Amino acid sequence: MPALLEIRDLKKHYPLRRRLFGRGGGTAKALDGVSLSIGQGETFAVVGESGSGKTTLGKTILRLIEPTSGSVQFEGREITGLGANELRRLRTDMQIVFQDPYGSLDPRWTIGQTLEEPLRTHLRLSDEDAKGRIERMLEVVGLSKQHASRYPHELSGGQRQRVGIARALITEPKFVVLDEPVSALDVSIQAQILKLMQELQSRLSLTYLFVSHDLSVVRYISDRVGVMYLGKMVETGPTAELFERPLHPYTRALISAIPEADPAKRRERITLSGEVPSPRNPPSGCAFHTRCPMARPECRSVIPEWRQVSENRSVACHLYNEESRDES
Amino acid sequence: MNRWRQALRSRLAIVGLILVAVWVLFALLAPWIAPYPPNEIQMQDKLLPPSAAHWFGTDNFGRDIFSRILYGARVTVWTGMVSVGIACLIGIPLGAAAGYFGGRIGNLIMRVMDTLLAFPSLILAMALAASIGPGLLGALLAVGIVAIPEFARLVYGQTVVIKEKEFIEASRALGVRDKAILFRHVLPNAFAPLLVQITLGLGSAVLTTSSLSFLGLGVRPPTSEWGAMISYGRDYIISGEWWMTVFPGIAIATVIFGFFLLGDGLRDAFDPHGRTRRVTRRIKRFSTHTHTGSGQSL
Repeated sequence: MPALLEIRDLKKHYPLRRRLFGRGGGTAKALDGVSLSIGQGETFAVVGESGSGKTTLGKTILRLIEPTSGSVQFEGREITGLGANELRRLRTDMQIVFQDPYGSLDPRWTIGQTLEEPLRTHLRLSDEDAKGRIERMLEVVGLSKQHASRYPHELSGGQRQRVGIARALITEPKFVVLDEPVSALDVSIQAQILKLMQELQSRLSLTYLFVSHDLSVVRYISDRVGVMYLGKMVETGPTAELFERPLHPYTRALISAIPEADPAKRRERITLSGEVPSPRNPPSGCAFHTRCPMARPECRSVIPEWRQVSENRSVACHLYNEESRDES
Repeated sequence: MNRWRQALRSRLAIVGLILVAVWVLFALLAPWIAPYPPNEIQMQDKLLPPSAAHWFGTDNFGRDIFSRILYGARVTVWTGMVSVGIACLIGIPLGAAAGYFGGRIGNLIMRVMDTLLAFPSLILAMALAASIGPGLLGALLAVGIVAIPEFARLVYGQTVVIKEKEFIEASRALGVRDKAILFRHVLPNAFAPLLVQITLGLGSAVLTTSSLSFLGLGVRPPTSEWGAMISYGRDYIISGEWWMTVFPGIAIATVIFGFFLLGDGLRDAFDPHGRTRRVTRRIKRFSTHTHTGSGQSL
């Protein structure tokens, strides 16, 4: 699979403002050196708790948030340094579907106007052509052309999310960031929307970055998974393999927390103690050591390296150093 | 639009709307309704009390006060519209730019606005009117400039809130230009509070213009303007010719009352949170306005 998107050591640090009295300063590391590559036609899921930087990752790739450093290559082209006009042209190829189907549509615009905006911005279409394209797009996402004259408040959450998808896809992008696209929806609607996105993916040969905290959804939709913790990628791997045999203790804990439908299957559940530490003041060494059930002395002081442990799996954990693997 | 219906359901807002509409009609139709030319001096008829011939009496030059009030409505409507127009034209872009782009320039704009707001508005208007030069134009500019920070601050606040909404980010992700986002998404979503501010601003503008004229910084004689009319009548209160001050005073009061009632009605309709009756508070402010000059903050 050729890589469509290649991300190297992507960082987003927010400077903390010094307060008028007392201390402050420093930076909050929302993204702290993330590298990954996403293949053409692939669905790569990013999971993690809130505050792990997964949404920041998606938005930084699209440069909705400007990265502090690092590189993002789209189809072999570096996009972090692009000027406003080049970036605008690139927008037709890279799109995003937002989490909140209520907040992501302008309440004063009809659905038709909302879908027209990307067409007007990028393509010179006649009114007829634009109208036809909007109507076709509405049908593609499972709405009817009558919806074009409706306002967002007249639609249900699921319908609005379909509009959000239509807006993202109407310029025929190659890569779409799905930022928790179903977490605001009822479970019954979630399945419909996920299915729609899968259909559209194969039909339009789309590549997805799927940001989610819902592991059962991720397991269903993604080809590969990356697990994030405090702005760092801690583990990546093919979905089935990663769920079968998680390497990083954090991944193990997350997966053990998925509710099991079969009560006969008993699994050991790993309960993590404590809160996610603040990215303003992350723990030394491995950021996860404060909550890790398998922490060792070196975890406090030494930042674990991002290493490839098998052909398609990588992990950042001291448990998988060369020596320790020999031991086990 | 439900909110419009809601505003219309409020009886006080209707009263306000009617008051404003009546005065606008008077202003438009003054040449046809007025029984006398407004500036016609009839010294033999001076200081006549209200009667069938002169409904509101005559002033010290024998001019018909009713006619002068009708013509005064033209000045009032005109000054209100022009000065609020100036305030909108300058204040809205300043506030929107400061809110949307932020940064050092945005900060600078808003600090200048804060500085202007820190002055009592009447004092500031007086200083401006005096420096621009007396006359209607000076008063209009002064009143307009004084109202700029109110609009700038309102739009700034709205813009800061609206630009964080996801639909703005969605437009940015689509590559829509900032200018288009600002004019097509941000400002239309700030329309409701702006409309309220415009209505209230009209009331304040009328009051400030009248105050300036009363102090001799507004229109030049013989133009009939309500504040100026009160000023002329001032000397005659003690000698008993009350009609020279009372009728223009009632005119000013009803116009401002109308705008404030309408503005409050609209605000209540557009803002589901603060459904308290603000009219009483506004009337209280109205009475302190002439002393301190402040009283228009939201």
